[in-house]
Amino acid sequence: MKNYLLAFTSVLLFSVISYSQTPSKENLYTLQSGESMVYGENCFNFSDNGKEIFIVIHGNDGYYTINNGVRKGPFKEMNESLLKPCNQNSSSCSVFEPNGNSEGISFDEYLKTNDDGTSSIVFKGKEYGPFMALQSFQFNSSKSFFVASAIEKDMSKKLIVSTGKVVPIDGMVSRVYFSPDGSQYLIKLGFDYTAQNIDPTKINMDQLMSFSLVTSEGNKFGPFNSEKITESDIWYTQTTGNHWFLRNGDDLLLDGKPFMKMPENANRCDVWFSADCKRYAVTSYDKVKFSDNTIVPYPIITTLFYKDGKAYLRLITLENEKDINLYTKAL
Amino acid sequence: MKKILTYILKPFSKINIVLLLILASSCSDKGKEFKAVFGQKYIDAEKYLENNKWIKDTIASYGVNPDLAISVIFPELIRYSAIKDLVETHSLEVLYTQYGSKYADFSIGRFQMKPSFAVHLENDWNLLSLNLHFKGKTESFNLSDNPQSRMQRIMRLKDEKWQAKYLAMFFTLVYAKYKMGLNSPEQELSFIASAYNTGYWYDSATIERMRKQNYFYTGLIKGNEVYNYSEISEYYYKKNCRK
Repeated sequence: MKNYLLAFTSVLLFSVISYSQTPSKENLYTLQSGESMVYGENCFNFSDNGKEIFIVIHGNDGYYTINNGVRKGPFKEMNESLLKPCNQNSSSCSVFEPNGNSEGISFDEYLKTNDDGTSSIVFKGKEYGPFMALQSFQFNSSKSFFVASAIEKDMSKKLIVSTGKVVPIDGMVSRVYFSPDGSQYLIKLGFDYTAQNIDPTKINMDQLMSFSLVTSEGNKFGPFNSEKITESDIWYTQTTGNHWFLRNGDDLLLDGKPFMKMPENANRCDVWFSADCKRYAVTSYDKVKFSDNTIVPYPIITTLFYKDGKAYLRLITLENEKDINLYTKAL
Repeated sequence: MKKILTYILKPFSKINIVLLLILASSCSDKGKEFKAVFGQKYIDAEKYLENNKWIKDTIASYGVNPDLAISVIFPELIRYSAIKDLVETHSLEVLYTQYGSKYADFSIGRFQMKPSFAVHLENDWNLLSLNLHFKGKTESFNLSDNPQSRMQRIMRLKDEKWQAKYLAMFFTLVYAKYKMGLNSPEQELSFIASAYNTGYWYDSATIERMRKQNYFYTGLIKGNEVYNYSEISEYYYKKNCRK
């Protein structure tokens, strides 16, 4: 028994140590005397390893560019040819954004109208349907997978999934959220104006504004009020796989269940979770605070990168107005 | 004496006078078709205003002429449309919070307002007499030069509702400073636009001098293509707002 306890304590201690370790710190560049960063021209570009940095500084004798530690100059004047294009760091927000974005896709390639007026979906050589009408059609980000809603000949409504799954639904699909790998989805179902047997005199505002969520496993959550919970209050993150989040005021729900309070003043982009959602970091202007109380002050750039399948945050700071430092810590 | 006069007048020979006139006219953008000059960027700015009618309503609710206000910031909407994909301001927002405007003073958002502009507005707003219109709708600002108040300022500047409020404050302060009527005639638009772009805290001679100069550009760095800020404002007003 004693041995078990000792082993358990050791594992626990190791886990705590491995996740509460102080972040590693590396100096990327130190501004020399008389040098200052030219703020309008700095984009802080990063390569995949998240360590490279491009900055423009003004020294005593002109402008210099510092590209991954390589200093060029002086240049009497800055011009655009000296600058690197400023790419938006897509990972500076924890939210997985390209959720089922089907903009710019020609649906003619996938949808066909049959001679009898019905519609079918043709995807990867397979035909789905025919349906009386199609109401929505959305891809995941890699276009390897679709979710559509259709009205059958008996006027019932179904969710049609490219895997062959057909799910009866009782609302109008207003949004499909896909998980980062596209294998899971979350359907937002709103009030169905087209449903039969609706008595308009008996519809109230609460009904009109309510919506529910249906997962790819068929679990249903809600009803929620769409005035209080908007589309941006529901999201998958870059780091938590098929787990999804819902913000309801100050409360944060994980996979539809109560989880934690939303950190104060944080928006959805600012909260970074570990893959198992047990640890997190919250970014703000003045600090990044990890759930183990580690703090990195004033991160001018936050990027996400993976090593051996594990997610890390990389944080660049300017300390003492001269030291450009890089901190790295596992989520 | 004649020789001396000839020497003095030589630079003003007929040819040189013609050249001077050409140069003088090139310093003005009067009559320029700015919609054609800026193309899609201009159209994007117009669309933004069409899709965000609340901005004019908000400004009007503060007692400021919304047509004049929108015309004043219209060149900034064009610039924002041009550079929005090229700039990433988060780093600068952190640097400003951490070290203040001596380290990072940069344009934020659609209306391209800088933190230093906001500080001037907030400072003058706090000093305004209480009986002015809409003064009572805004609490005094915390002007402490510390990270907390700077962070709050950045958050305000990033909030579009606050940008509209700052714009209304700017008009109220300019009206108060230059004793203009609250329904300022459009002839004053050019001056107000220059005050917005130059800095309303400068004296009227400086604002007037800057009004005549071409220094507005839509790139990241000032290049050869520069335009007259006030004349873009006037152009927009005449096209869209003049009854």
